[in-house]
Amino acid sequence: MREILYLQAGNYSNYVGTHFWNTQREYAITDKGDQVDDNISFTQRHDPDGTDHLYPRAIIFDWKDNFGTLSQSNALGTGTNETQSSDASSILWDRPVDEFRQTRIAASTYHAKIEEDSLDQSQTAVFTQPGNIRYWSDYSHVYCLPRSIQRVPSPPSPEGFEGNWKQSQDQFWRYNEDNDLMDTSIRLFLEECDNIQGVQLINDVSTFGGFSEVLLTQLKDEFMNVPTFAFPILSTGAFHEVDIEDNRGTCQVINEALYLRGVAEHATLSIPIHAPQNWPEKAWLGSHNTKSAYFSSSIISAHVESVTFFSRAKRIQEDIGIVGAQLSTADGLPPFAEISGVIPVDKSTNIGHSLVNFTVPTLERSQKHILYSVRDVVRGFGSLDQQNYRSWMGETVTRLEPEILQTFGFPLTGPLRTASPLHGSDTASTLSRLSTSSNLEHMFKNYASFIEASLRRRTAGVMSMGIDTDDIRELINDLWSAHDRYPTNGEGSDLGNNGGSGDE
Amino acid sequence: MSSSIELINPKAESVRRAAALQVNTTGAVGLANVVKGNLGPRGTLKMLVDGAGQIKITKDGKVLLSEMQIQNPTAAMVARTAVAQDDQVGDGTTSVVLLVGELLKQAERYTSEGVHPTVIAEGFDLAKKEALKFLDDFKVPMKADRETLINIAHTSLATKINVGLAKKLAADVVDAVLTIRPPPPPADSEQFQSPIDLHMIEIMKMQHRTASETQLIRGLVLDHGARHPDMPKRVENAFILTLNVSLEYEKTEVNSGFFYSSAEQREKLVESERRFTDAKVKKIIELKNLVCDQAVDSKEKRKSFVVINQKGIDPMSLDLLAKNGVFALRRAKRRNMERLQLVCGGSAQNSVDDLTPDVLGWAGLVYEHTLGEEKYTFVEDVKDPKSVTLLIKGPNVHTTQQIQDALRDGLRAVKNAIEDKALIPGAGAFEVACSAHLSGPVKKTAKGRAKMGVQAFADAVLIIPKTLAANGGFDVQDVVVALQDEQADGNVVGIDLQSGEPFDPTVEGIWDNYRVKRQMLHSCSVIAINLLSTDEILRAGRSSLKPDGAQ
Repeated sequence: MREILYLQAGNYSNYVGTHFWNTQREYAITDKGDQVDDNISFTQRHDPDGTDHLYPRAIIFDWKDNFGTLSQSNALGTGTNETQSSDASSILWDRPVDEFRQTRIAASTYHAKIEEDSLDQSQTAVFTQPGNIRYWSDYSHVYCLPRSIQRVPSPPSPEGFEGNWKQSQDQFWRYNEDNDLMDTSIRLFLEECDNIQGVQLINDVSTFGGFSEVLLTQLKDEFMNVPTFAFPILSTGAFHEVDIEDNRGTCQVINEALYLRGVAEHATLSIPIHAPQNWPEKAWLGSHNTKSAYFSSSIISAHVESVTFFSRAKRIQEDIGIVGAQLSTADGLPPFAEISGVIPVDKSTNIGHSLVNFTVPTLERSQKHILYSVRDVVRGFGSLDQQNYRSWMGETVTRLEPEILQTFGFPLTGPLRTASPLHGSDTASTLSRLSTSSNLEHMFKNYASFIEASLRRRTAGVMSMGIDTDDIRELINDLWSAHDRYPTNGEGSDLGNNGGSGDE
Repeated sequence: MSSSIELINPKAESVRRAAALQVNTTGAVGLANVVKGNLGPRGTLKMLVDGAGQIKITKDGKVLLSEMQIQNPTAAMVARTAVAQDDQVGDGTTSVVLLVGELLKQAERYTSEGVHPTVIAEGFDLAKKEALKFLDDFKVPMKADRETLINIAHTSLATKINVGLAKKLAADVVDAVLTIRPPPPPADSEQFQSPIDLHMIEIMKMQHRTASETQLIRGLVLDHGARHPDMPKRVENAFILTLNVSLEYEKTEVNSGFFYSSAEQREKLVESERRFTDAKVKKIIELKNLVCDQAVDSKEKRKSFVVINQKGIDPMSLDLLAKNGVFALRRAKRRNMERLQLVCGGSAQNSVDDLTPDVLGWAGLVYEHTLGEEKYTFVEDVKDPKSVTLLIKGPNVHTTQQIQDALRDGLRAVKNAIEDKALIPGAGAFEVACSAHLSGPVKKTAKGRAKMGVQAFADAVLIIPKTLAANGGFDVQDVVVALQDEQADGNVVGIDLQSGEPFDPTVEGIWDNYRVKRQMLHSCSVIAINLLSTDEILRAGRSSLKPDGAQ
């Protein structure tokens, strides 16, 4: 019961996803079994040798070239048998065969070590240095079912693909034509579910925006109203820094806006996350030389894991649908929320100062924002931390009644272990927050006014999208109306005027 | 002289006239060289192994073209045409690519001597029209009897898998198509014969030891089983209820912004939702009791009841159904809803409100088959199936995929033959005859310079028998000359790939589809004429999307 289907699309999202699954596996094999229900995220298989295995209930989309050593034939961990592959053709064909072999990608140093024999946790850090990570599959601790692996053909020029809404949508249709996702992989996962709780989607918007939007639409078409949490990874981040004459940047902004409008319709709640290049310095835990995707994705994964912890916990009655609605739509807000957090929290932490907002990283200091709803997850807090947190909450959140979930410390895996403030510890105290605030209002305003300006000047970027100007106008309207759904109070009044002018 | 576009956009690149044609010819010929090894039963299979060790074995032009990441724009254009050919008629991808390459190569012989490409293009157009006319004369009307169809299926399958398996599968393929073929309309009516819908053949893959166990099931195979331990694993004489009704307790209703203000309210809502779902299940059980109840001492065979639902069924509903001896499957494929009605009769229900016995289908045998962790459900022994299943068994993914590709082609070939009511002698016979026809009477009547284009076209179509010969390991020139000699005597000749000698393909039962040839002539000449008429190739736009071009 309460099963969740996880969807991951795009390279960075899969970096995050791999960390996420490593954490889930950590729960499953350690003594967290009484708090986390494994059956929500994993599907269980009995192997012929009598052992049970857990496989993620996940569908993993990425371009073929990004999968590294992972493929459908070795996902289960059995490995491809070389002898089997060399005489594979002889069964059906008795004439010559031309072989075209790409160079075999070697197993990652980390996986190779595991194969050799068990390595202890302290060594893990050494073999998973960012330099040793070539693909996200290099540090995965879990095996997957073949049906989870969806290797989408890599486009000839990946750069030209970024921000291309139409091409990304086309890619879905082409891929779906050959693979019939709804009737095969996705259906088979749902068939196993006794009563599905919802879908958790994380995807790169620049490369898999259109793709994921169609995927979500199809999913809704086929399988009723499954509540959905979407975590889109945005890349233009500080889009007000995007020059209106910058064609690529403009495409990216419009692509993101189209995506956000799409998920607003199909997802119960969307929590946009900005790509790490836009993060403030404090987000990096003081590790200046490890700004790799491998490292940053582990921070994202920790917060995503914490804010969705309720959905996997035993003894908690809430589900994705209820929480999603409580945060936003219940108050008449658009279905969007921000994610922010602190890793790690200790007695000397100034929470207010350390809190990093991953949804609107650049806006937070320059503008005061009004909170509409808050949902905090505090993990592993000692009594001092508690006090610290309470007093901070008392100062910052006055009118609202925040939901607070307390649970055990976040078990560290991968690169977070090596980050200096956490060095040598197994778990960390963390604070993760889902909230809605006037920041989101600004976000929509920025998207709308940027695209409006681009359209007015008919910049090359907006024209090269291949989207009808009427459709773009409609998009602008939708963005303004999302903006208008936020209450106008305090400083909001001058924004309201801008909003009005957008409808012309 | 620089192109005018370069004046207004210094970053644009352009090639013109002869150079443009050169670019197109190189691209098209290059692509043809990649795929030419695939053609015919003697073509080689290509095995692609990627960096992760994933294997793909294919001979299918379409698969190969989509696997290759084609960068050259001309080649990409040719490849798209070829793939479109496959979408249209299901075969002839490789032939189209070969023909386009050869047409441009032949045209080059003339253009290099100063003939304007449009002159050649004109001749191509004329030759295409004449070739299509000739094709209509050349076709052999056929009776759609099983024997002939098996030959056709065999010709198609034998190009993808070994002869032994092809022979076995040919019969299955033909039987599958004949079973799902819609009945002909009454002779006197105005109605058209409705087309054959190959979607009504379910292709189910099973990872199992040997490929030779691939077989036709006159019924339906589903890739899932019952989810309740107490449900029967095998039932006979079964009524089948096809449903599209959620039998899950739907908590998702709260999604729309409605909230419980208290725990009791929540409890109440949960309870009423549960009652609602239970009521639906009870209606199904009532129907079951209505049709299945028999007197204890009845001499009749025991009747049973199967529910196949497109939506979910939660454990409590499954429990209720199991207690009443119902065999229930949840989340069946959407497509199977349609197929089930054709297999078992009855009609799919979107609601449980007005269930009557006449919405039920019937099957003599429904049983679950477990293979490792995977479960399959067979619905068999049905009265008059209008839909069937081809069950593919193979030891690994790439083997089942290879069989599936072959079956797909075989099915298309049989469908095409039935719908065309005509066939074309295979083994290159049409191309040899067509070439002779074009360079003979057609060229004679063609006016002026168009003759050159006609001749080029006539030479180009010979690429098909030439490639067949080359792939068979025979001397290309010897074979072509021998074929042309035989043809000149008025015989229909193709190349015998066993001996390399000319032979009559109709005797051996080697046939091609009429519509495949037709589509092939169409698409190859259209694309060749387009490429020939290209006067200038511009490359702009994309370069301005590159980062260095942004500022």
